[in-house]
Amino acid sequence: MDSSIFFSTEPQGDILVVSLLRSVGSFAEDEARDEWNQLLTIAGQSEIKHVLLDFGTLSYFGSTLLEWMVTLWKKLRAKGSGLTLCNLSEVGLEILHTAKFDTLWTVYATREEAIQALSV
Amino acid sequence: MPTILVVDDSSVDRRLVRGLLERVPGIFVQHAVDGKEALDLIRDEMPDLVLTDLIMPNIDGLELVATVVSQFPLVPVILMTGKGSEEIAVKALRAGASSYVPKNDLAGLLVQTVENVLAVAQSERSQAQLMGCMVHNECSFQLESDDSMIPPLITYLHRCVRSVGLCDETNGVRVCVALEEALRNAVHHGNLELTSRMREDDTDQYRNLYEQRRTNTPYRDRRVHVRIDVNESEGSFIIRDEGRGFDPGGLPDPTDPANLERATGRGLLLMRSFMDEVHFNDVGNEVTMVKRL
Repeated sequence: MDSSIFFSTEPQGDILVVSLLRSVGSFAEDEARDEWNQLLTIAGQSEIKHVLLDFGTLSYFGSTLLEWMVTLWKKLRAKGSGLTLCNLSEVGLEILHTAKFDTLWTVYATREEAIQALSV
Repeated sequence: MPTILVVDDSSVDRRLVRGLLERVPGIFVQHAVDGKEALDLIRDEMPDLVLTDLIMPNIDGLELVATVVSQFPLVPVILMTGKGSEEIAVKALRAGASSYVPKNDLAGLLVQTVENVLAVAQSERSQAQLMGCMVHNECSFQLESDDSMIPPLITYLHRCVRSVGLCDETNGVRVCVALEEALRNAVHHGNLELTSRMREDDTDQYRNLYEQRRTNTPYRDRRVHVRIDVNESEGSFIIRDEGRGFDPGGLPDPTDPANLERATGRGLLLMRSFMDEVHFNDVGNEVTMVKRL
């Protein structure tokens, strides 16, 4: 996925670090959906135990991305893997809190903190 | 005197690029060895242009493009690409890079590309300065039922609310979130009568139906009407679709634990969270949102 424009992935051991590069607007956005589906395939691999979403490049996101994250989370949950988030902006944290998704997923301030916590 | 930040982990390539650029009178060249150092320099010293290699440790060129576009939209980025990476160059352009230059033809193309991009960037900075002089904006748009016009409209409205002084950066982002949700609701649920339930059941089929209805009557003839009125103390945003309307009170609570995994209601939730007022007309096909200083 190194030529992706919406998401880039980087495996770090059994953690798949996903950088969200651009806002996803709609399910009708073919390229974003194709990249997301590729991501779901990679995340479904047995060696991946955690997926870490890094929001460092996104100042905001909306309900579309929230829905996609739920899809990812369900897939990971089904195979006993986890979803963690990091590097959210102030508004990003508010969005998660408003939607009550901060009750589902752990959020870390930085990628380094998240990887350290997941590697324990 | 324009400052160009050259980002490349190869000292040989950095020297080569610097040598080419310094032939142009008045250009000052800085350098960074990777994307991380580049971002630190951009934050501290705001160059006029970033010229970056693609493959680098820590943050690579593509991620650097995305970050700069997001956080420093007035700083253009040119990507230097290696042989065989034209596809990646196209991706970078779509992600917001201003241009790209193949590394095997820097001598022939670099200076002209840099000069062209700097000229365009200067024009955009002047536009941004002009927008900063705005004190009141009242305008209307009429959109087809097509998602593709939503991002540029959001960008425009974001600039408006920032320019008139109604919102700082963070509040401007909150307004963007609410507006984007309202516009997508108007297109998908209003005009095209696509439901969240359809999306839950089968996203591929939802997407096919979206494409189908956009070209079929009566859906394709429906428009989304957007009216905005913003000044430094208040912004009013009215979005009306030409669908049948709905009952906003009839949506399930998306924050109820039983509904967290469902696809419905979060858009309206975000609208209500990030605007000071949200109310619908009796039919449910027009929403008025108000943001106050």
